[in-house]
Amino acid sequence: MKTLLGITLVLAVFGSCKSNNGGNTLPFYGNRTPVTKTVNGQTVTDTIYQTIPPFKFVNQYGDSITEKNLGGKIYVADFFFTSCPSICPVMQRNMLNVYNAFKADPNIKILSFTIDPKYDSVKVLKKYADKLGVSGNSWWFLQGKKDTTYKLAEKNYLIAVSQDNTAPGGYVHQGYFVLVDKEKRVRGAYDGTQPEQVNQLIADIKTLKAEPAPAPGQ
Amino acid sequence: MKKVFFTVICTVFLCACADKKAQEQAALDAVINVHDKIMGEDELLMKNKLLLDSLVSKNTPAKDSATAWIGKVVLADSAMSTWMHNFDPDMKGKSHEQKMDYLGKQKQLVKLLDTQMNVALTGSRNFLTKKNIK
Repeated sequence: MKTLLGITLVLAVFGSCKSNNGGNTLPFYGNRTPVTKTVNGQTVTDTIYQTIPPFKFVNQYGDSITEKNLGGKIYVADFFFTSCPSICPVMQRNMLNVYNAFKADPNIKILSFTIDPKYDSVKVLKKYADKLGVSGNSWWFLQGKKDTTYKLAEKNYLIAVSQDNTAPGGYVHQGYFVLVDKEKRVRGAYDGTQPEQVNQLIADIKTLKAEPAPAPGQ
Repeated sequence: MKKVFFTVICTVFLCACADKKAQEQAALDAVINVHDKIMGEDELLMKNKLLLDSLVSKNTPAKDSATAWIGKVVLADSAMSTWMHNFDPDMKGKSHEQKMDYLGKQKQLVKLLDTQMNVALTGSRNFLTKKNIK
């Protein structure tokens, strides 16, 4: 009887970590704030998770890209530069697998932020995209002020990485792919140089796609 | 006898080629390792730059010193960026000797950049610490 109860408990805990589609629920990263509100006369406590703040960059076509272009979309962000001789070529080869898996889906995007805006002009980024075989608007290569890019990376996108490390920074040039959900919350960080982690990212994007849409006003 | 001689010659030739390739790869790795180290430092340098920028925008008495440190930070960052842009890791069309010579010179260059980066990083950090800014 005790064994049966134990198995039931384990199954209940396991089941609570599953989403409606049967896939795992992905974690949330960053700061979280409990908020108490009244719903139908009852007091409930909700959690507000850290989100990616507003930003403005320019893509490989010379168009301005802000957080508004990503409203309700799932996206993957990474940090690179076109003349990078070490990890970036491997990262972008692996990112091509993500691009090829979702390029027909307008609700999935890839954002590659250059950390060398001095040389990675719009023209250079377009040439780089063309060389990779990237066309259309699924994958944007973005240029902005260098310190703004680093700030956004450290304080927001790479929060999942810095939470698990004690070193004071140095994560931007480590090849992470960051998964952001439809509500701008960070839901995963993957080593973009490792094909098996990139496969996991592809699987996790499918899990996020199946998450129910947020209720209006939330 | 001729066959044995031919096999020995081929083996020696292949070993020499493999050895040259390994030397080139080791020399390239040595340059890239310093480059990757500097990239981590550059990230910390950008953090300091943001703090210095905010000090300048507040118009404090330390504004002039902060502006001078921003100049050194930007110079170190820009020097690194220029080196990365000019560095040619493919070295197409170069002989083994030319590649080894090129990589040797690049290693010296990138080490100088590392020193410049460290001076800017440590100096700006010390300055910010004295001003109680973290």
